[in-house]
Amino acid sequence: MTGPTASAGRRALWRVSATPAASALLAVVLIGAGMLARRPGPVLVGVAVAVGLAWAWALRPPRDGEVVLGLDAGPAEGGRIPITIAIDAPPGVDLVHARLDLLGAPYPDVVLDPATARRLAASVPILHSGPQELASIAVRTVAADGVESSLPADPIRLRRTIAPRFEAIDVLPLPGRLTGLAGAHPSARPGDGGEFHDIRPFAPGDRLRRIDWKATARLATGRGELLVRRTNSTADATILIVLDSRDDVGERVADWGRGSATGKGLSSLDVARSAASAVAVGYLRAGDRVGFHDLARPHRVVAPMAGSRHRERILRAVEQSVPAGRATTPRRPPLVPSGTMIWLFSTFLDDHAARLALLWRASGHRVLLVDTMPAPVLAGLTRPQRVAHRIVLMERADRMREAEAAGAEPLDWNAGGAAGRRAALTALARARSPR
Amino acid sequence: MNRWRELLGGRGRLRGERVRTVAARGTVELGAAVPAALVNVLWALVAAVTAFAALGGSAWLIVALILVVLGAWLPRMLFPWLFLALIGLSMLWGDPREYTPALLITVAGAHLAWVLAGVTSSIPAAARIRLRALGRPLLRFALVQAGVQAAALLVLVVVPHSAVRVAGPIGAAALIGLAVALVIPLTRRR
Repeated sequence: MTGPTASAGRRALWRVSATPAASALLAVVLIGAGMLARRPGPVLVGVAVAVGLAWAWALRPPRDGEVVLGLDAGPAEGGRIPITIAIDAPPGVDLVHARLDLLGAPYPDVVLDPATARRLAASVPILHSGPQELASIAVRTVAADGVESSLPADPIRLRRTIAPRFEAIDVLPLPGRLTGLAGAHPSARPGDGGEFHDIRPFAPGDRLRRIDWKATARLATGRGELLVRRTNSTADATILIVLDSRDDVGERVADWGRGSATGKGLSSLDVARSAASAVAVGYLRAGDRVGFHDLARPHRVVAPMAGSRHRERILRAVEQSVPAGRATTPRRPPLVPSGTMIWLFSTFLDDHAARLALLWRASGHRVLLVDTMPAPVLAGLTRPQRVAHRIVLMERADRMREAEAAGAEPLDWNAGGAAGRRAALTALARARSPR
Repeated sequence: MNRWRELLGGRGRLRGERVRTVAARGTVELGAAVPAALVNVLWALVAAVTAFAALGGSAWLIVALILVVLGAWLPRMLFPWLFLALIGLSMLWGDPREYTPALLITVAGAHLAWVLAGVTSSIPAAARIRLRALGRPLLRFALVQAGVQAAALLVLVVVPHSAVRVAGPIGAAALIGLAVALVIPLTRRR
């Protein structure tokens, strides 16, 4: 399996430096002065400079020379992604000056010989899930002895989407009302299922194999009366995963303003992608119907469906979730089918997600608020910034309390690790949907 | 108050606060490489040795050393070429027939300083340079310098009486060669 590649040819725009003019003037002055004064010393220095300059000038790269850049990512190994950098410089180039960004962070400039630049190995750690820029490279080249150098060409960028790591969950809460005529969960409606519902007199339309002969012998009151055993029908649940990807904050609060891939640590969208994938796969394994809605992009809606192909569709939609520029507040809430259980993954740093939770609760949906905010690391914050962070968290806590008061059920995905999460999900699965 | 205590966890820090090590960064396998600033330092060393060889205890040595420092610090400001002009012109006052180690060091040092100035003026000092990238400039330096040293041996030792007479034609030939190398490509491009 090979990863994504990026390659492009960049025509080198050459610029003559001050070196040739200064060197030619130096050579002329030294040789001329040496000849006039009849001294071989200055002439020898002047000749060395003149010959060196003439040689370097003759070696200049062709005007229409092209620098071909290539970036190629291999399969991940040991938590890192190997990247092959290929810079094919035109003949006559002495030095290749490359400026690299790895995971969005600038790497110190490197100066290479053309042979080494043709194939250079690099690697980046896998720090986050989702779409990301693994590397970008911009190059300028220097001709022999610096007589000419090319202007830096436009960079090429290597992008890749990293799938989140998750473990499917087998204990999952269900909505208050199941839908459909078949599925994995017993419903309250009588029909063809497994769990006992009641025994009632035979009526036209009942199947003969439903007659419970033992109950008939024991309980029948009239001659010819037959009793049938009824079971609960099965049904499936409709789940809507709502992912609030309008912001992506890391655990390092000092990096919230920058959001750099290498500096922010575990991010809220890392947590959200892993959690949403785990929940979606858990329900889809149970045969339920799962839909997806991205709050940052109202047009990115995946309608609730079931099946393995749909699972792949949902997983791709989840891993493609990224903040879309400035956080926006859609005017209309997403349309939700009746009887749907809503998993809302958000940091709740603004009112929008909590407001939607209140709206859905008012419509009778069961709403789970999954807090995706990672535990904060406050190192590097000034005292005013710490106070500001506390205020932000207090406002967030108020929002979540208000939603809880309306019947939404909170779930802190990070609290207690896998065991704590399982315990919390088990408690939610036992609990009845709040009315 | 309870909310504050809840958020602060009863201490001076927020609940859940912990310290994680800074995540690993991307790496590039450069092989044998050094900071490009070391090339500037190398230029300064070569230039200083050349200055001592050419100027000895002269007062011009101070001027040359100032140019060495400025050339290492600001190579793009043409201080290296000013330094080379000073060194070259300082040889106008020597014995024209003297074949001394100081002369050979001055000629070789000035040429090497010119080659290194070409490198330092075209790359940033903050970069890291692969040592192999210096191979081509140094190879050209070695080839040109071998010819120049052979010419010095010829005119100053083998046929010393012709030193002054031969210097003229050699210099003239070099100037003509330089003019041809610079002008012909320009005319051809047009």
